[in-house]
Order: sequence, then structure tokens, then C-alpha cells
Amino acid sequence: MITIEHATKVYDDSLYALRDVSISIGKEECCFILGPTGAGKTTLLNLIFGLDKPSSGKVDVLGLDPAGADRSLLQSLRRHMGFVFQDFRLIDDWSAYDNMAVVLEMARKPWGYVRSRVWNVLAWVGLQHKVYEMAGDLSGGERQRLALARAIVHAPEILLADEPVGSVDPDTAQFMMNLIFRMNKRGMTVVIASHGSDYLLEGARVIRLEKGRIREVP
Amino acid sequence: MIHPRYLCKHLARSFLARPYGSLFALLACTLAIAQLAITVYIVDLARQATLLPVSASSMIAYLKDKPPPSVLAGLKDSMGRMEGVSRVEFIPRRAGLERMKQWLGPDNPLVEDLDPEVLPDAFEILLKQEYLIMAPVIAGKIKGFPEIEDVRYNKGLMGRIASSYKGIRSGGILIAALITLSLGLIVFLSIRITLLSRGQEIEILGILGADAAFLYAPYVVEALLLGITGGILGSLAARAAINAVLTHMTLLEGVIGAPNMREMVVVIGFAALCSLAGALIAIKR
Repeated sequence: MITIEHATKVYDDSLYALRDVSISIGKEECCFILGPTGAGKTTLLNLIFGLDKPSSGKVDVLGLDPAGADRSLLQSLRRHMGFVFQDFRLIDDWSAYDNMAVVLEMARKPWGYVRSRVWNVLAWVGLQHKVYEMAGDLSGGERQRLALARAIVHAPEILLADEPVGSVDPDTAQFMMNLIFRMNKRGMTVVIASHGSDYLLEGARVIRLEKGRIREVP
Repeated sequence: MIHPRYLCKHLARSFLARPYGSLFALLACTLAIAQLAITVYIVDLARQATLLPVSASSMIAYLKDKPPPSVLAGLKDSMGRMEGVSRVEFIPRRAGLERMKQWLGPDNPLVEDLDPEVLPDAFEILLKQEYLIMAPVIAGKIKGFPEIEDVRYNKGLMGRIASSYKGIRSGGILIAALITLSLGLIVFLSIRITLLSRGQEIEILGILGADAAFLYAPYVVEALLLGITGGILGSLAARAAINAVLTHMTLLEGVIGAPNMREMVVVIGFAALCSLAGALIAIKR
């Protein structure tokens, strides 16, 4: 489902974010990419999502190369993935409902489906009481939950999560990881970048990154 | 196909984000289009005037010298037999002066002490009603007689407008071009400001996988709405202004009509096209 072959990413000709990284992640797999800050975790997720291009090497996601795909193909590929960004990337002056609904609206889903699906997913993440609140008015934990809800609302084939529990309390973190675990059990391929191993999911594969290199793949 | 609900939400957000800006943009569009509608009306009016026949049914043919009665009789007979002429009447210079005194008033200094000998003798030629449209041709033929100095006939108000058609059309095109530029600029700036103020939103939607149509179609719709609403309001305002002028100018009663529906539709369509162009350039930049 996701194959990365000898991917290297260099910034400003000298700053190596990734060095010769090769990984293959299969369908319905749950994969943790662990490593300290600056290890290249976010860069790796960005390569998979097509937000960045490798300086060398090859990335294949769902049979497509995000770096080589034209814009419409790349956008189409992205609609098959969900991304929980470290900085959430929510539209602050839109309601929680609109932040989620837009993902389904851009996939041209019928309005009735959009409405019921958004309400359901908001209920899963425990935000149904905040449905019409502006995203900018939500607390950090609520924003994190909303970011996760937006990433899974369209039932993507692949979920990418960059520090999905980085700024929430332990209870919320456990709640969110359980939710991700359930998504994975329903057949969603999950790739989580995290600096700690506190919330590793049962049976998950762990890839360690350090200074842009893979240290071990158990 | 983008869902209408999403478009409505987008339009509502745009309006609520800067209500006064949106209203000012609409007002500016309305004023520009009202000017455009009036310009189109005037040019079309002048064009129609060129198609109208002369409004007067008589013409005056002035004689060069003082020909003998036999020549006058021959001329009168020749002109009377021309196609389209119903009657020819000789007006000696003294009778001509009397007519001038009637038109201008007997105390008018122009005619008070005027010697009738300085005036030319003339023929008044009455045209048949169905031949009014042929007046310029008949006048040309009469002018062809060697004894005739000049032929004058009253073209009426529409005739004077018709004779200025080329100038009116050139001026109209220039004004319309300037208004079009202003209209495009208004829409361009309005959409550009909206795009800039919603940069974060566009960036995030792009990252989430929105295609170009989904990202930018709402802005095109917003521009079209601005153009079409401004077009309708502007056309109605222009129509009201023209009607108000016509009501207060009895001179024009029955001569000039109000703008027709075709003109209004053309102006609204043109405004929509300008708005579309303005929006596309704003998006492209």
C-alpha cells in the first residue's frame, strides 16, 4: 500500500531530513514511526501525503507516486488519505461541523450523507456538543480531537497522524489512540509519527528513525 | 458539481467577513453598469435614428437668381411631375420675408428692416406621406436643376441625432470601454481581497485534497453574482433615470422610447462577462 525506496530528503543542499529510507507498509497495517524531534518523522509523512518531494528515491502510495503525479491526481490521492497534522491545520473561523463537512463536500457526497456522517464522527470523538462552535474557540484537546475527526470522516484508506496525542491529557490521549486502534481494526492503514512510545497500539509495527535514518525495524 | 449548500455557505461567509466591502463593491458595480446601460441606450437610440425617415413632409428649394416667369413655370411643372411630390408652390422673396416675420416675430431685429430683395425666391415642395423616406433622394434630384441653389428640409430631432451617429458611436465605445475596465477592476479587487483574506482557508483546503474547481468555483460564482446583481440593479436604475428624463422633457414625447428588454439583457450579460473576467484574473494571480 505504501512503499518507500531509498528516499532521501535534503534541505538547502546540506541539511538531511531523511537518508536512504526504505519502508513498505501493507494494507490494514498499523505502523508507528518513533524518534526524537528532528529525526525526520514529519518529513516521512509529508512524502507519503505528497506535501514534499524526495530529493532522491521513490515513494509509492496506493500505486501512485505522489511526487510525480500531476496536481489533480495528487489531490485525488490525498482524498484517499487522512492526515492529522501536528499543528492541526483547522480553519479557525469555521465551525467544527464545517471543518469536517468540507472534506466530504469536496468528494461531492450528498448533503444527507454529509450531515449524518459528520454528526456520527463528532459523536465518536466526543465533540457533538461543540458542533457549531468555531474551531478557533475550542481548547487544545478539542482541536486535536477535531483534527482526528476531520482526518477519518471520509473513511480514508490510509490515516497519517503526526503526534496525534502530543498536546492532550493522558485520558484524552488514550481515548484517541483507542479510536485510531478501532479504525485500524476496521481496515484502515495507520501510520503514526510520535516521539514517545507511551501509547503504542497492540500488535503495531514500530519503525525507529534517528537523524533521518532507520535504526531498526523489528 | 459543487453542492449548492457549500456555495451558499461560502457566499454567506464572504459577505459576513466584510459586509460593508461587499455592499460597496455591489454599489460600485451597480453605478458602473447604470452608466454602461445609459451609454448603450444612447448609442442604440442614435443607431435607430439613422433608420428613421425624415419627420417633415415639405422641403424648400432656393433659386439662384431671379428667373423669368416662363422658366419658373417650367421648373414648377418639372418638380410637380417628380415621383413622390404631391404639390409645388412658388414662394416669392416678399412672401418668404412675411413667413420669416411670422416665425421670428415682426419686431425681431433680424427681419425688422430687412430688404426682401436680398432674400432668394423659393419653391415649397410637399411630399407624399409614403415617400418621406425618399426625401434625401428627391432633394438630390431637385438640387440637380441648374436654377436651384440649395434644398433644405427639416429632418427633425431624430434627424439631427442620426447625423451625429458616428460621433455618438465613437464616444459611446470609448466610454463603454472605460466603464468595462472599471467594472472588471472593481470585481478583480473585490475577489482579490476575498482571496487574500481567506488564504489560510484556501491553503488548508488544498492540502486536504480540494481540486481547483472546488477551491475557486465559489469565487467565480461570487463574482458572477456581483456582476449579475449589479447588472440588474444598474439596468433598472438606468431605466428609471431615462424614464424620469423623458417624463420631464415633453419635447421628446413620442420621439424617444424607454430602453427595451433586449438592451437590458445585453447589459446584464456583458456585466456578467466582465465580472467573470475580473474573477478569473484575480484567481490566476
